[in-house]
Amino acid sequence: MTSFQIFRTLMHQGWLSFRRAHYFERSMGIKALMAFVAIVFLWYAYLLGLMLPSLLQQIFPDKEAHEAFFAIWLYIYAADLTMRLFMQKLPKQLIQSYLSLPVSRNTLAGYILARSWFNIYNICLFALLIPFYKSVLHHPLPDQAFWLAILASILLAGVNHAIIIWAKAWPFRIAAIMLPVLLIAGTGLFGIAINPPLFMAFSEQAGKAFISGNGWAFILPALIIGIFQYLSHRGLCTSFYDWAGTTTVRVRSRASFLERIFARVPVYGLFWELEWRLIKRNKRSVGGLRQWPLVIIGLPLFFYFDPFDNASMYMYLLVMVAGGYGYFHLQYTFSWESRFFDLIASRQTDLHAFIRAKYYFYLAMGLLQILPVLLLLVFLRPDLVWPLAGMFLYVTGPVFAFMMHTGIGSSTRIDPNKRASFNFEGTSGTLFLVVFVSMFSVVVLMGLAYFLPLAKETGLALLTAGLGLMFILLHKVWIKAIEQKFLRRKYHNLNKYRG
Amino acid sequence: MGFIHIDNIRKEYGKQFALTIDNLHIPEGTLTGIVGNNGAGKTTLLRLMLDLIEATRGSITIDTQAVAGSGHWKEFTGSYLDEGFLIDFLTPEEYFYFTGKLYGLQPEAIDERLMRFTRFMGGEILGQKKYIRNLSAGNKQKVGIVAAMMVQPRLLILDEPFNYLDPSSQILIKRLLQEEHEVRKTTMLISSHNLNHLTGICQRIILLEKGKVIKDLSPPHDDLGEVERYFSLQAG
Repeated sequence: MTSFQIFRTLMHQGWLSFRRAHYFERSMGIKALMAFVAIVFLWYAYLLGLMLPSLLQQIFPDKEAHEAFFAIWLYIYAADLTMRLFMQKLPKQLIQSYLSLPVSRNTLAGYILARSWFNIYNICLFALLIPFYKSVLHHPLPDQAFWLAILASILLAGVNHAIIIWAKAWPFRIAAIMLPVLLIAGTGLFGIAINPPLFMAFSEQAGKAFISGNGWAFILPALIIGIFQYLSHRGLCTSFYDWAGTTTVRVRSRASFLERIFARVPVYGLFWELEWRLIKRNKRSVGGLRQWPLVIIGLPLFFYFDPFDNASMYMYLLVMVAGGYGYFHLQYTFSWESRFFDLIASRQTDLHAFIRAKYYFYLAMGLLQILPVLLLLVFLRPDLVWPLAGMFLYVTGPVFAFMMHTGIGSSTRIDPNKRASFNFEGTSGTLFLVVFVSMFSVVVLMGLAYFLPLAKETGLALLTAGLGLMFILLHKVWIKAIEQKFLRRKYHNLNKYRG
Repeated sequence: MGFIHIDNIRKEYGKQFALTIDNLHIPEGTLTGIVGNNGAGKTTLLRLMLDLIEATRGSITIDTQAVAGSGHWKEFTGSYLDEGFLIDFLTPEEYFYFTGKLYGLQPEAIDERLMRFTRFMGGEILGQKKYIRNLSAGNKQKVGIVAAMMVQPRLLILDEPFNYLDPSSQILIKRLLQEEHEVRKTTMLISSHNLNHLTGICQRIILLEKGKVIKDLSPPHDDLGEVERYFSLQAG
């Protein structure tokens, strides 16, 4: 077989592995529900794309919508680069089964690079951009402006993609990571701190160069993509043993400061130590945790620049962040431990203490994560401090209780060390319902707050805080119920955990 | 009087039965081997004894208490069946401390008890700065066996402990099991595909076929050649 034929076969098998993934083996009901959720998100993005021109004209009344958009274009791609830096991975796991076959490193490296382009981050922004460009790029602009803007957006997404893939493929990883970090920091420094008008003017001119069909505007990003793809290929070929996973990661032998503290706590400390190590040492869990610094900074900034200036609009969305990382983790209660639950079940483990330890751990972690957000809000949006504090109590109270209770019912085996992004392992219809109910319950509370003789936000803060405190204080009662439920379903769950 | 009583136990998966045993008693302090081909029901029996699967009917009692619904037996039982008993994101040391602490052992006591297994672990487990998931299959097996034995249980249950081990480690683990049995009178249940591993050390051999006990032998009184002939016949 020629190298090209092998490459084509690899691409075909890559397609087969996607089509035959566990995710598609689910029941029709769950697939329909997930498709519905995807459509809702796409619909939201589409609507936002349609609303964007009027929003931009509120912020930049002296500019046309497309000019205003191009003025903030580079900020958007800097944000995209930041997200990719944390989330986008080199799909090196794809080639593990080909390592022992007579396939050259060149072909395998080429295959990884080619497959890396089939990534959701390269297309998700277009759900918003297409309706936006369609609505603003028309007469008196040239006819081809729409297509040129689409091509420009593809190239800019491509530049970000190529830089991130290079940063993760280059043998000197830390040095390579510095490039996207410097680009993001540079955007922040010049575009926010030093001279925002000049930066925006540059960004606007760049956008205009694209839609006016200036050849250099297209050649430059295409060149950058080409150079970084070439460098990535070279990097992958020279650091074969690293990305092929044949080198072993060495770990620290001493317990960390936090682990040593946990070790001193009687009863719960042992489980906290285990919980912390589980989160920290597995790709899926640590991926969720690593997004938190972004939330801590991004959320207060979002409210500060909030174009709607109506906090109650977002209250139902705040459920997902107000409780901290625990909201993500507790949805999969006990599935995180599925790979070793036979050990827990066959040893002298106090299940009640185990569940309580888990709850206290995520309650404390949620508090530590939300405190800096609240602190920033004191300066940026003081009116939101109490509503968010109330929401924290609500999420760590009834919402956590609800998630832990339903988590036992929807328990499936998951491998926490499989990467986080777009990993649907353990995802079920119940999980979607749990997220939906937890968000919708806040809408109900907002309705109830309307009847209270108080301002809407104050009423909601009081209701959420009151309910939250009640559940937190009565946690022993509902944890007992969760324990009973687990014992009733023990054999069923253990069977599912074994896969 | 038996230490372990298996009474009228049956495990079915849907309409297919996996195991059915009318009556089986295992006295305290015996070293019992369970042999059989794939699908004979060895692991199912061990899982039932550890209350990891629910019996369709019947009961198992250990030290007069039914295993289902009671945690009493866990206080003195050590077990290792498969990788489901390992916490793969811990280092072997962290895993030993975790399991040891569940049995109320102090870190110093755990360190002391691990000394006994130094040769068996062969310098490839402790102090390697590796997570269990990065160990070889043989070393994972060793970690599981050591964690089960380290707590010095009254009852030790091991499923295919010789799998993945190199010949020297197989000899070492046999010695360790014999020592443990002689010194502490530990009741042991060990399953294996390979009769040769069990004949030298077990006082009793139970042969399972398609979920049923077809031979219950006590060497040297009984002739194990009968079991060997059985396996030869199965091979055709």
